[in-house]
Amino acid sequence: MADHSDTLEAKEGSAFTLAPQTDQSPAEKRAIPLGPNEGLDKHTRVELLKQERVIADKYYAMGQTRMWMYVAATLVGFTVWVALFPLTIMDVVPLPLAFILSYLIATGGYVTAHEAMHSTIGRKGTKRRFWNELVGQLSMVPLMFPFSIARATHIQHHKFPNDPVKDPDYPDSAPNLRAALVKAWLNRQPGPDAQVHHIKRVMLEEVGTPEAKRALKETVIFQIVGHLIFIGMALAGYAIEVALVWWLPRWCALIHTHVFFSWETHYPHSGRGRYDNTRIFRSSVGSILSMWIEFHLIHHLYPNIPMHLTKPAYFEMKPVLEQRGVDCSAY
Amino acid sequence: MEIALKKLFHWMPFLFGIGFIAPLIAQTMAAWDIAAPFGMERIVFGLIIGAPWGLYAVLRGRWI
Repeated sequence: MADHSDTLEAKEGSAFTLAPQTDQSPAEKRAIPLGPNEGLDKHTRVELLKQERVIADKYYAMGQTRMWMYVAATLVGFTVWVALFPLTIMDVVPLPLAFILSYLIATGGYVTAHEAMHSTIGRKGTKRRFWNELVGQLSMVPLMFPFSIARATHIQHHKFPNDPVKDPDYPDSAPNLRAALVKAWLNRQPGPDAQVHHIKRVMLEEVGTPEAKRALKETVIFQIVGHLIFIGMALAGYAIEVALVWWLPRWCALIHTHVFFSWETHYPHSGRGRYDNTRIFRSSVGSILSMWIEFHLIHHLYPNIPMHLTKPAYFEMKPVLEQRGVDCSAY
Repeated sequence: MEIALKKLFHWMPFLFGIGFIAPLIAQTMAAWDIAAPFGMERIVFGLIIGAPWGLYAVLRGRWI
């Protein structure tokens, strides 16, 4: 079943409001304000939520027949990525091509890992769980982070989107694209302002589970091992190869994911409600390079709908969302 | 153990400057057939750049 953790009751409490006037034009209907007093009576809200869920369940079921695509993409991508090391050392693959491939694999790897974070490939206790975990682990290697920390921080992000204290992704917030790019760079610097300190605090103080603590330890191990591989390969005479196959593509992929998958999806990072913590938008890098994350609202409403189906799910859900007052002007 | 790891992380940029940036500079110069100034070895030139740069990153908290 699709994720229904954000129930209507929990979001709206017992506050009743007057029903909207029925003689409104479609444009006026779209102008209904968001928030707890959004101008829709409880019956309407419940009906709209039911409609949402019917559509979400349909796309979740549809997605479950095709999740092998994410497994196949991960296995192919990871194999190619590993093969790039010997192939560039032996001058079989030119370094510029290797850099581009590695950058795309590392960036795309976040998308496949993201599915695994939400267990859409295989839930706990099912036969497909192994593949879910494998996809998560392998996909994150080029980014040099363990799957455990990626999953822990992402689930926390879903619980508290745009919360300055509780959202691990909040340091990505910035007033414009240029500032977001600069911040993505600054957040990855070794000093005390680095995002890693915010993540560490959130994991220890806000999440505080044994899994979160273990994820932090695994992150330390991953980072040390990764840097030792960089140094080891450089000292062995393959500094250029490791720089262009892993170090630089990883940097580019980290900035790409933080800016175009995190900053732009939640811009302006102010809404915390079910329908305004993220948005429907046109990505600065287009649909392909943003990997169709432009329909991010659908993902936050129903995280079990796989990424490639958020677009058709959005178009089917659009009339319902418009009645809710969601800005659907981008698509 | 935790203190040792913290120390290692604190000094990681410096180690990275010596162990990665220095050989990267030297090997890039070799690949482009560029000689190091004053007749020094390319790796020495790499270390002259990489070590202070890594130290700067440790002290300043930023690479640039």
